[in-house]
Amino acid sequence: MHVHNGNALDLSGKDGEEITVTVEETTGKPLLVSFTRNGTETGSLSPEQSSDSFKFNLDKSERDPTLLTMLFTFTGSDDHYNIFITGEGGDTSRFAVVQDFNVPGDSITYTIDIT
Amino acid sequence: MKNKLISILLVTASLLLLGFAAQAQQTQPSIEQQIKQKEAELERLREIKKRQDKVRELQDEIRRLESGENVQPDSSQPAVASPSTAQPAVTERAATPESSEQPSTTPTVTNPTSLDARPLAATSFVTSAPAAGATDLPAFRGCDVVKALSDEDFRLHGAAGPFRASVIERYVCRTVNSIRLRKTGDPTRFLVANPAAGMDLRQDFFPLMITLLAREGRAQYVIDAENESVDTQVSSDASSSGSTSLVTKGSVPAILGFAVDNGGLLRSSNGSTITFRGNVAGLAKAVAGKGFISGYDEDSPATRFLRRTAFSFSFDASRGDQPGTFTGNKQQISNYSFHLDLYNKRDPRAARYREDWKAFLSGVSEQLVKQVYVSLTTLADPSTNTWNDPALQKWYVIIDNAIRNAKPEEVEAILQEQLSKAPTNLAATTVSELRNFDEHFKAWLDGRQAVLDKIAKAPIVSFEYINDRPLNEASLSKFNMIAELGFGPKLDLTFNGALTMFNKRPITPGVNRVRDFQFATQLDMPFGELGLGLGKPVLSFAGRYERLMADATLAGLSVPNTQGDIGVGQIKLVIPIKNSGVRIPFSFSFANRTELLREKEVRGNFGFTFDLDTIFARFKPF
Repeated sequence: MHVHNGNALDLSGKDGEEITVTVEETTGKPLLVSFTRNGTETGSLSPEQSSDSFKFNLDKSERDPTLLTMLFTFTGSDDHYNIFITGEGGDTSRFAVVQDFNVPGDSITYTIDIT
Repeated sequence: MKNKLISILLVTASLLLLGFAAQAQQTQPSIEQQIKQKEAELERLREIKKRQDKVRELQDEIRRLESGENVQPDSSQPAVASPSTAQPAVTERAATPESSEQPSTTPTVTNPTSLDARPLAATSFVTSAPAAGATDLPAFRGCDVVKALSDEDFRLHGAAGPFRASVIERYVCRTVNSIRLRKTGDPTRFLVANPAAGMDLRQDFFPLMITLLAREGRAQYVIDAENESVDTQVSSDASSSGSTSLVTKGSVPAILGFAVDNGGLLRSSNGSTITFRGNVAGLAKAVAGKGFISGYDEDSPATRFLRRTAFSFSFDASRGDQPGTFTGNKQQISNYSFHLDLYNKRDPRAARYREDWKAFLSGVSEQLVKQVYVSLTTLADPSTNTWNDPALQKWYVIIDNAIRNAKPEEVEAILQEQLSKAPTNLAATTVSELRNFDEHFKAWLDGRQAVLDKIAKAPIVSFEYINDRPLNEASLSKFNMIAELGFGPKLDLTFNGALTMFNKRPITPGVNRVRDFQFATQLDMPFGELGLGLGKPVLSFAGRYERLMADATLAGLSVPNTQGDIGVGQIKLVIPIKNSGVRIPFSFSFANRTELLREKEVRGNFGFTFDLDTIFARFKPF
């Protein structure tokens, strides 16, 4: 997997490559993260832990680019989620979603071009 | 010599040629790469062709509907346009946000076939109606004001709010801050400085949808400040020093200023008194953020304990050797306090709320994330950072271009101005997606609020120590136990038990160290919105009993025959006027006596309080 243009949300990977997404909440708040991959697989991480992860395989026949949309819910002030995405070798994407101005939550979308 | 010169020239020329050749090799891809690129381009064009066909079909349907024909829904077509098939071809493309190779945002036609789609897309959107109820957005307050207000509201009420800054104001400032940090870089967010950073739908789509909701005018909850907060004292912008004429100088204010600037302390001014509030964990975090502390762990038991503490200290700048100048020295300290939560069931990560959060995630949270995905893929293409709606795309290119060329400090003004100009002549598909997004966003906000309200009602018991140092009076220590419990829909009951002692034994014969003890209780009952432009009123009942153990003192002198019991009761109703910063309190107080006079006192009060920040932001008098 590779990061493009210095943008941690702009990724590419090989067809069939296993992608691992790890999210950690660093300020002692519950981990409230929901995600959907291409609108087909939707789920949430475990709120009982401060860090959790999930995996999926890139599938060109399903959608190219693969879109991974994540929703982060904040429950305090200055909540901070770190997101790490790795493939089978190559780069690690590092991104942080931080609660500014006491907004209730935030959402980001990764685009993963399949080569 | 001549030969040497010729040799040097030959070597230089050879090196230049080699350099050009190497560069040409680097820029010229291999045959295989070129074939792959062409194949990828072909695939993309096929995809665009499919989308064009879909656009034509949808156009025909719209025309038939407009002409009154009954269109039978095609069971093969989803009611909500499928993201992969129904996107109109995009003819204007902004540069990929972080791409250094494509810094320009001038709209360009990316391929010949997209030219064919241009008139189709235009025709398609001509048939759409302007968003019904489109409204001008309210004037945004500066992000420093929004930050100060939301920080103060969080300190007073926790995450459940209410917040005096509206949802839209907070999301606009979130976007301002996010873009600034993309430009300046921020290692804590893994951001490398990119001065040419602009908008990026991968991370800005969510706040942009909220902006469009507000602009479209049907989601009033996004625009309204949650201004039913009446137990909040109206204060000027805490980060602003404009509310005081005092001069700040000296090393201590510089350190305090550093902590304030880095979020470790909150500063507020009242008359000549300047108060700083914070907690040790927050201060440590602020300092750690600047690299002064290594190994700072947000989630360690020590940090969690420290997060339960808070402190404040106030300086009276009219005191000391340089009255009117804030020097921050010991002479100017008028009081300081320490706060510790002894029993606190208001931790959102506590096991008792686990099932609530799980239900929240599997319900409204997953529904919203799916909706964000559908809206994003229906309305935009995050890979190319473009919107499908021509009106939105035109507006977006202008914003993006302005942001890319802006310095970090210019982002706020540009964004606030441009977001207010969000188009209202939106395509039917866009309006439909906004409706869907609105529904799920509101449900998600309400779901989150329901859990946070439950947490906010949990019991909390705190201890507070206040050291009060009045001018020309004996200094006092006050020990206060505070218990708070919410019950019913939103009822909040607070109980205080306090003991006040002289810091030094008074010289007056017969007077011991204990000055007084007191008990107080208050019940707050918020009501629903009254309508007619009025917000949510809050009715409060409060009572206090105080036992003065010795005669009160005034200007250092004992006032005779003032020792004894004091009882005070108050009924108060505060009615806020929505989005105006004005609140109207009515109160009726009665007391058997005051501290200084042994006479009954009954008072009725009626008045106005103003939040000047709100008023100035709305009317912009300056």
